Amino acid sequence: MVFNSYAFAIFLPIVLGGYWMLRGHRRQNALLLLASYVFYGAWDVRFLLLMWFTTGVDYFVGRKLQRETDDGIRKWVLIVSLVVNLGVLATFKYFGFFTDSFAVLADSVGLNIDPPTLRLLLPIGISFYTFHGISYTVDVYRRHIDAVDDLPTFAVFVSYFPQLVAGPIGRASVQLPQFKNDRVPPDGDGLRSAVWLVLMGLVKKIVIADSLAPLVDQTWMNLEHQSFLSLVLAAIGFSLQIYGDFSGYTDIARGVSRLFGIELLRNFDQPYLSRSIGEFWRRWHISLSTWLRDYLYVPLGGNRRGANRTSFNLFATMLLGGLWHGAAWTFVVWGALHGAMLLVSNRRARPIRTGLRSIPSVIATFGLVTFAWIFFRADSLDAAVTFIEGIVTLQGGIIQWSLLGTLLLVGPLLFAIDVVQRLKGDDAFLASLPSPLQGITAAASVLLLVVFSGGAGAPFIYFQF
Amino acid sequence: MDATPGAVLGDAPADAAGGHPAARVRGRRNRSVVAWALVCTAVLFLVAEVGVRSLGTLPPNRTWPDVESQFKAEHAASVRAEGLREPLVFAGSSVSDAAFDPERVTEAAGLDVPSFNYAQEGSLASSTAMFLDAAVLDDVQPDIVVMGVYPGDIGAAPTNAASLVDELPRSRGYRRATGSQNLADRIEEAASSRSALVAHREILRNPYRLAQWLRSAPGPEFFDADTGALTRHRARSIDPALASPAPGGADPSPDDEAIGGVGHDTTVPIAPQVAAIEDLAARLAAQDRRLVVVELPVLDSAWDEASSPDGRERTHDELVGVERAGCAERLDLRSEIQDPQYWSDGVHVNAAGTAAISEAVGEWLADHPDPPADC
Repeated sequence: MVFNSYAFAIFLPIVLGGYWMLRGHRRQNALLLLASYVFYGAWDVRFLLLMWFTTGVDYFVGRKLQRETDDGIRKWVLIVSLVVNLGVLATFKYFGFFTDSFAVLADSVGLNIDPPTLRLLLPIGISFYTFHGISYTVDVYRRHIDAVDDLPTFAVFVSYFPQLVAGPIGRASVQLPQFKNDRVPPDGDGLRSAVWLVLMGLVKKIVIADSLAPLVDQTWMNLEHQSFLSLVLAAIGFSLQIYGDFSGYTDIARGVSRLFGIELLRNFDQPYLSRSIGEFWRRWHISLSTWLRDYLYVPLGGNRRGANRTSFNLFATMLLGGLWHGAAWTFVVWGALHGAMLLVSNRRARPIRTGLRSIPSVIATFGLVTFAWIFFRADSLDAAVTFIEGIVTLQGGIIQWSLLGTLLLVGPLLFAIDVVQRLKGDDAFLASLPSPLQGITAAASVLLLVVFSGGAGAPFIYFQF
Repeated sequence: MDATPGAVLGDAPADAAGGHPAARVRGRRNRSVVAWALVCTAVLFLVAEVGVRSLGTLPPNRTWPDVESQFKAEHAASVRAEGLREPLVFAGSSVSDAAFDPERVTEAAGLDVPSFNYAQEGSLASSTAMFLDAAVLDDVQPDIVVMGVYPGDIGAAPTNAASLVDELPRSRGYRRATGSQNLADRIEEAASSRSALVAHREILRNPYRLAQWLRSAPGPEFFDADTGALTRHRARSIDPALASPAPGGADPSPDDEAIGGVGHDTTVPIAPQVAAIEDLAARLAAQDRRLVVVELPVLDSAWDEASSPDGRERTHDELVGVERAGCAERLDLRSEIQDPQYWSDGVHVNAAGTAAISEAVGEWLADHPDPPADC
């Protein structure tokens, strides 16, 4: 079940109505849990078994960590949780990648190895909910939070449907208190801001991402025949597509969750207005970058062990961040590129310009990020190299005029939303506008949604991760 | 712009209980906002609807997976709507699309009947059968279906045409033609019948296509609107020195938007493709219709033997089996036109090849006016 479907349009009001009719957070949690399992099971009921398994392990590990006082035992208990969560991830997501890569490596030194294969279906959203679980057990281990003492509350934290399949990656310290306490129904202002978040999210997904997706895909389909201009347009198009797709999903998730009286983490903060790669990573997929910072970069030593070790830690974190996205070398290269750019960016730290003087930095950062997206989007490293070669050699061929036209139509819209959000300092700034202005904006949004929907559509990109 | 990024954790800091209350916004009465939204929406939609209607005739939204299927399905529907029939139709992949010119076939056969080529670029035998069943046979009521087959069509050689098999059943047009519409289809259809804005939204959201259309409504670019035959190969000629096709033969043309999502050099299992032809023959025979399977030639000197060893022999054996199994008739043209002058590439014929194949088919039909007696 996806947010931009008729099924969800029926599902949400039913769950929401039932939720606010129930009194007390425990009953509401029970309903949320049931709804979340229906939502997730709609893809494939078998996925639920895996989620129940990791949920159960993390819950009991948390309880044990809470009670246990012996540091040695606590460490081993934490390791159990990490092994289970990362083991599940490794088995379902990375097994084929590692065995294939090993076979290629062995082949290069003359060993012929036939790698074992597991025909496993990749459970949707597995990377997200395993990270939920890890953040919980690590935080309990560090005694930053208390373990949850009832399973349904913990289970709903892991499986909460608005954020289950594509984040934002939940942090136990932020979200568990919300599930453990009574929620207040959103008042008029909260309701309006929630609806605006959902509406803007749908516009980003359907109007921007889905209109670009088929045109970008078409360019990637036969790279050899595309002109360099088409390739540049496809690179920019994918930059906007992935941002519209992912931030659109997050906006809808946050808006939907707000209707349940639960706030989710903010995942994007106008990333394409960043003036450096470092700033980009403070604004893009914030819940992942902060997760990696707190649970990987800092434990590795962070910046506490000298410049060289800091650089290594940063690079390793970005490399693994790349691999988190998918089991392919293209994602590893994407992570490595960002790691390298971060290192250079950090060493060339300059005073940050503001206002109009920052525009060259914003454009340069967007260019670098867009270049790295080529590897993220490519089906293989060869395809990425072919793509870049086509641009560098000013390859002749087809010009994707439709892509250019669509970019000129939806690109300014995306940047306009971001610029106004930045100037107003609020994602849901539309809810503060005078009523007539809100009315006109809502009408324009609905009109755009009507015109841009009904196509082939494209699944949310981050569902695959 | 701010010098530093804003807060990370939601719009507001956690309260004492750890919750994150929604950001407070300056009070506006929701009722007033909703009223304004409704009025503005009504006005805007009215203006947009009038604006779209004033643009004149616009193309409807695409409901089939590719341009060619869309055009040909609409053509078949229009034949039915006018109360007409097409007694002779052609089917297959791009190879048949290029090979059969219905006008030349009917002329050579001495037939004075409407005829149309329903072959689709990017099709396999199974998707050809699917398309015929869903969009063609009931609408145009043919007496004879001529289906061209080359090794790539049945998986005996690698092909670039595996995607249509998946995409066809997922398309709205296919679901409509087969009476398996879902809720979204019904809503779409109801809205399209009432609103020009909805009925033409595909072109409205593509400014380049809209501008092109408004300048001069373009016809199909790569096939003949009157006969359905593929025209892109007609003016081309294969370089005799090369005499070596792209592996898998039917290489997607660079200027083609018709083939959606093709993979390169895909190998598909043969059995389902052959079964699809046998099933089609049986269904047609049950309706007193004929299926003529034409074994199309490939340019032997250009055939990539390495990528499909025994592909041609296997295809021949399978089609002989199809002929034996049911009521399909078989026309073997494999040894025809083995001169590069007839070819656009190793598998698609140019204008001279189209003429030669079409005349051969026409003459065969003239010699075989009736189905086999034992069928």
